[in-house]
Amino acid sequence: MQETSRRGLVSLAVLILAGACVGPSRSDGDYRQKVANAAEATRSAVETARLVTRAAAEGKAPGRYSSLVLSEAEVDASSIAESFKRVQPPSRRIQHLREELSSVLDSSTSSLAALRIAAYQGDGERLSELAADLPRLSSKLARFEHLAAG
Amino acid sequence: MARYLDAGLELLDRQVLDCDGRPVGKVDDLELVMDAKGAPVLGALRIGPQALGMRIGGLVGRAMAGIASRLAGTDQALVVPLEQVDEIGIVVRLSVPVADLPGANRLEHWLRDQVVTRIPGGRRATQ
Amino acid sequence: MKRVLGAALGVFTAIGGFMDIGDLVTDALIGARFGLAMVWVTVVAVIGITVYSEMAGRVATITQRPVFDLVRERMGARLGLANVVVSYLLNALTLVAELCGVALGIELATDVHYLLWVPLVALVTFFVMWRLPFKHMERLYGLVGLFLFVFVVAVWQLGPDWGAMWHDVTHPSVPSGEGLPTYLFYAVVMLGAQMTPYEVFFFSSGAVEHGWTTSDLGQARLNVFIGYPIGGILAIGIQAVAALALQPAGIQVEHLSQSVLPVVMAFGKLGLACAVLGIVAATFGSVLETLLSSGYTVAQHFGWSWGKSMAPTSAARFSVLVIATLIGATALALTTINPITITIYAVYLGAASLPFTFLPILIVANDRRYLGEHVNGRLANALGVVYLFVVSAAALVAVPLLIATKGGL
Repeated sequence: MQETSRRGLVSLAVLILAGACVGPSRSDGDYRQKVANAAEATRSAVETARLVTRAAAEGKAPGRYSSLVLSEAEVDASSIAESFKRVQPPSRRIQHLREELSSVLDSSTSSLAALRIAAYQGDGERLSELAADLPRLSSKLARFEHLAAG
Repeated sequence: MARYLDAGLELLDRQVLDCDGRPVGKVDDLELVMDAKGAPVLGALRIGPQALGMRIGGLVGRAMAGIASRLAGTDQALVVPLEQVDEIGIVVRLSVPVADLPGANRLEHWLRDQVVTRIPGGRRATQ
Repeated sequence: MKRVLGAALGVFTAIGGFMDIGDLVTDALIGARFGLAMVWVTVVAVIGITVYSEMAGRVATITQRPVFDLVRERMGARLGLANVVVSYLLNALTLVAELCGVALGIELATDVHYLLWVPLVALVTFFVMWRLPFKHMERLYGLVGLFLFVFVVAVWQLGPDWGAMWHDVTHPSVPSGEGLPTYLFYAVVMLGAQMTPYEVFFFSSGAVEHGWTTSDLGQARLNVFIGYPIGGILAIGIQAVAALALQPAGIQVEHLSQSVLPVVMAFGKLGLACAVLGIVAATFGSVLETLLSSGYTVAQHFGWSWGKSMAPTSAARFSVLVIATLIGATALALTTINPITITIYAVYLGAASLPFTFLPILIVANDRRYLGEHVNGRLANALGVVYLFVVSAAALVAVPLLIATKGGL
């Protein structure tokens, strides 16, 4: 009895892990939630990049560490963008959300990639220059996060 | 040994040590024999996954017994007659050394000779 | 003087042994997401693990019977076997997470992909396991693990509003935008991160490995009563810096590199160096503890001879099982399975398995035939029973919560 219930638990965990990532959207509300989640997760990557580039500019974050953090942020952002685009918007009314968010997600990914390259090359000046763009991206993404409630 | 003993609670699944304190295994099952009056009395302890597997039964138990029999090369569990049991307490202590028990810890010896001694440093204790 | 030093070393070892990849990831994750609203869970969990480790350590010290000996005796062959199988698998899963944890720690300093470090970490683990005496092994990672205090010191450096922080700790609330099920899901995660079953297995088996006797009971108690709460302070420190530095930015922690970001912001390169040293030592310690615990649980169930302090030839089945487990875990880690996900699930399922570890300990700790005058006092029993209810409740809600929140989304 014990054994079977535990075994069930483990297989359940695996199932949920697999299912939690991308699912179909059945309603507009559902899709809005997905938009908000994708925006929130991408903003997390952008904000991580903002904090680490600031620390790098202050001479606090060593180059290798910054480059690692930035490449992880880039990978996260690009995989979020990819799986977001795979979800079909359920109706034409909210089709525009897909286009709007996709373009912000893409520019976030390319910003993060440029930052990662600058950090890898140890180009501090270029890094600060590129980082100046991050707050703007972050606030753009923040606007999509409020869609979850609506 | 005049004390009343609940074999299910105080004997089964206890750790068995030999007379020098070396682990022999657990009391995996009990062997009952009939005395002169035809009443069942405790005759021996059975030790080893073969015995445990048969006791658990079902698919899991049979699989365990099967694998253990393959690994040990015999489907017979180690049988320790009650005469060789010295003391039953929170552990079961035998009056003989484990080396005197035929067929005890076969897998242990095989792994020791075939695997562990071949890895450098395997013979030395670290404390 | 020498005695005091020895006692202090024991305590330091307990602190370092307390921390692992589960703490490093979940504390930062939860701090960044819920602020200080789960500090109370940490406090609850630390008291629980202290109570049960003390009990298990006392039983093992006096009777030389560690946890899985008792599990088999008290739960019988069938339930005992189910328990040992589940515990072994959970231990092995945690081992995978800890192996990756060491490698991720090294990656932080080198920017060389962690998968390249995993085999090297496994090799070093093998050498330590085979050659380094138990005591030295414990001290090695216990002492270096103290570098993690950089997380606690960073709280001051980040200059918090202490009044507001205290208010958040004492008036925990579910942050806006988070549902109650999600909050509870992470509360179970937090419980599991601080109350890891392997800590109890390891501490009780360690008492036998050390050859502790009744006269060492004082040291055993000192280790858990001081060491674990200080470990808990470390955990709260990690939560606090994440709450201060990451929460305002809306960062969701998904990498170890984000866990250390607050320390980098506070102390720069030196802070990062301390954090990396501490992380590598603490997770390496947990690699050894989970690996040994995998061997302990199975060997104790079947009554084999076991122990790291024995020559491997005197505990051949145990040694072979440990090596096989290490090889298997390394192979699993190399499949590029996400180490952070593994960590969270290992921690979560670990919390759900606690009642099955705690119940036999509580029963035997009350048995005079085993412990004589050292049976549980009233306080230990009262706390023991309360915590049995706490972990049973957590185990019962674990699966429904997992489904309701889709794994904490």
